[in-house]
Amino acid sequence: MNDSIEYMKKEKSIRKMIRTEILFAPILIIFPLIIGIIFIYEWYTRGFLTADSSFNIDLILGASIIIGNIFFDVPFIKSLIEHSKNK
Amino acid sequence: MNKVKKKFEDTKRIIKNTKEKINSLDFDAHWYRRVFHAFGACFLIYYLLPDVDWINILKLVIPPILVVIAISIEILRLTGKISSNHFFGLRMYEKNRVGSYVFFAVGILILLMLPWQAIAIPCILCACLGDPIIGEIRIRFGKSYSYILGFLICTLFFMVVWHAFDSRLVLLISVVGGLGAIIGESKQFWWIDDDFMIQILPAILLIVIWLSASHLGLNLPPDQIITPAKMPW
Repeated sequence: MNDSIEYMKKEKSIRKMIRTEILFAPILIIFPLIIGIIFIYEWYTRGFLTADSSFNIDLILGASIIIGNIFFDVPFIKSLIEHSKNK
Repeated sequence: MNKVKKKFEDTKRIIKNTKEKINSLDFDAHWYRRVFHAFGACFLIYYLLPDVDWINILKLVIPPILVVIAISIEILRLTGKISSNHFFGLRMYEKNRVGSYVFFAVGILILLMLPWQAIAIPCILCACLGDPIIGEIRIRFGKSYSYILGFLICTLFFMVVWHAFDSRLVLLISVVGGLGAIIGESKQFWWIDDDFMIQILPAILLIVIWLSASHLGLNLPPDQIITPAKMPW
């Protein structure tokens, strides 16, 4: 592993850091999904129901936020599960 | 003799367990950074907040306050008042340098303060979603593939945001924006992070195009492309 992708770590602080990660995990995972749903809801109520295409950008952003986040959430959750199994 | 052998075996086991623990932490930190990046796309909600006086004041005040807090924390870390151990996912080269999360936050703040949403939105998407995807491609397929696919992905972000406007402008903006993002991502400087460059470099190029569009005979989109939500009450 080269220097550019090596992370700072010290054995004694592992537990503290993992705790930080687990603490933030629900926010990092759930919040983007909520934001994405809000964008799609806005598109649905103001764009889709009124046939106004100027709100399509809301749909695009909502979908991008949800898909983009799920794409990284899955391996992140897997790594967390893997880690708790190892503990 | 048996005691020494047992002690040796125990030490070997402890080293193996520690190694495994550190390896799993590396993996966690890796995905943690990726998720943190993607999380940044949430800041696009800024544009959807209702157009009401008190919310507009908060929109002006809160983002700079958050960035000032991040900068203050970083100053405390760099001066040794807060241990770097509290910062999960920090990379080795960030030990004595400003952390990339500060560059990321400053970049997003600058873009949110721009009056042109059509420029800011795809640049934020490039930093939040494009950058971690490019990073993954680089790890799995190598640098050259990451540049080609990264360019296509960033171009796609510009294309989908600008799709409803002048088609000549969409083509120009997408190619220039995609190139700017991939150059910003690939250029490595010690003093400035790619998390900043991937969003600011394309934004600068797009501002130049925006300002010269009228001379080129191109029809620009409106400054505001996301209509703020209505107050629910």
